[in-house]
Amino acid sequence: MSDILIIFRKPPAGTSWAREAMDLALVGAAFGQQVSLLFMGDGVFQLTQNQQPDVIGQKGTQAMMQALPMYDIDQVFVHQDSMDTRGMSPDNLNISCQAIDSKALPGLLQQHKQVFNF
Amino acid sequence: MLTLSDRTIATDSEGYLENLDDWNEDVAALIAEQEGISLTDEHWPVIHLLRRFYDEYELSPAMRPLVKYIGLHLGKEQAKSMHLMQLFGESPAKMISKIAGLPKPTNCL
Amino acid sequence: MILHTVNKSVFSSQALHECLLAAARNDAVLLLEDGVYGSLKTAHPAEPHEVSWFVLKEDLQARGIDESQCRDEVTVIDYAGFVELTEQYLSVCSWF
Repeated sequence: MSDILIIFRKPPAGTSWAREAMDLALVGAAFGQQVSLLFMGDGVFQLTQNQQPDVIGQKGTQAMMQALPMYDIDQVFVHQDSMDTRGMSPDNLNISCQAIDSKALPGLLQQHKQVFNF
Repeated sequence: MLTLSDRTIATDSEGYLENLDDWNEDVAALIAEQEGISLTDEHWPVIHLLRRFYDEYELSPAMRPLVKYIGLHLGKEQAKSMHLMQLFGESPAKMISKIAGLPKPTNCL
Repeated sequence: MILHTVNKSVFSSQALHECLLAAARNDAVLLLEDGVYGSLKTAHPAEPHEVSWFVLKEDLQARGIDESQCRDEVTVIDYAGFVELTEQYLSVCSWF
């Protein structure tokens, strides 16, 4: 049983949800918690490459996401159906993720002591 | 506030630079001096490496990722917590960020 | 054993749909705030699901929805019932 699952469900840009979710992930990991991430729904758009939030005067989370291995966060999942619906391919994501199908989602949540939704 | 021979530099109440562009090695030495640390050849590679971490990931690391990153780039010996504490005191992640002119690590209390 | 709360209308948000994708059989779903619209007989949440359904009475009343408009499998509870639920389940996960 892992400690924390953080679910990303909001698209990038326009809000700071992803940043807050990343902050929580990094704080948790820095305190020795086992942290897993799940991207589903519009959250899979967080994984698109070549995001340029500076064009609209915002800071993204692209760089922070590259730091996940430094924080020993290696359980990163992406919901396959959410990607399919949105025309995204697992081959061109900005971080490496394990694809997970709908059948396996409930089990993933049950494997964590705490689930946080962003 | 830090006072150099030709200018003054704004810092926050804890001594972190307000403007990251104000940093150079002289500024680093001055911050370190105020913290009672005299910078040596052993300090500089760590300080420069932390700036590289920030450039790469846009965040100041907590202790664990810092140690991991140093281990990757400077070798295991340099990455030992004891070694970093001897160089930078008991909160190395915070102190190195301060001297390197970076924001305080938010993910480290 | 997770208590999921959903506070967005099923007619405008994916929150309930995504919650049901991730919920397990012995989890519970509590509909509150605008989420209560998901308890309507006409709402037909994404797929038939074996979770336990709850809806917050106060949020129904505030929106002028009568309990008779709710699907049969949905149990109406008040705030005190909400507190009891949070004690019965291992953790709470909010979908918004």
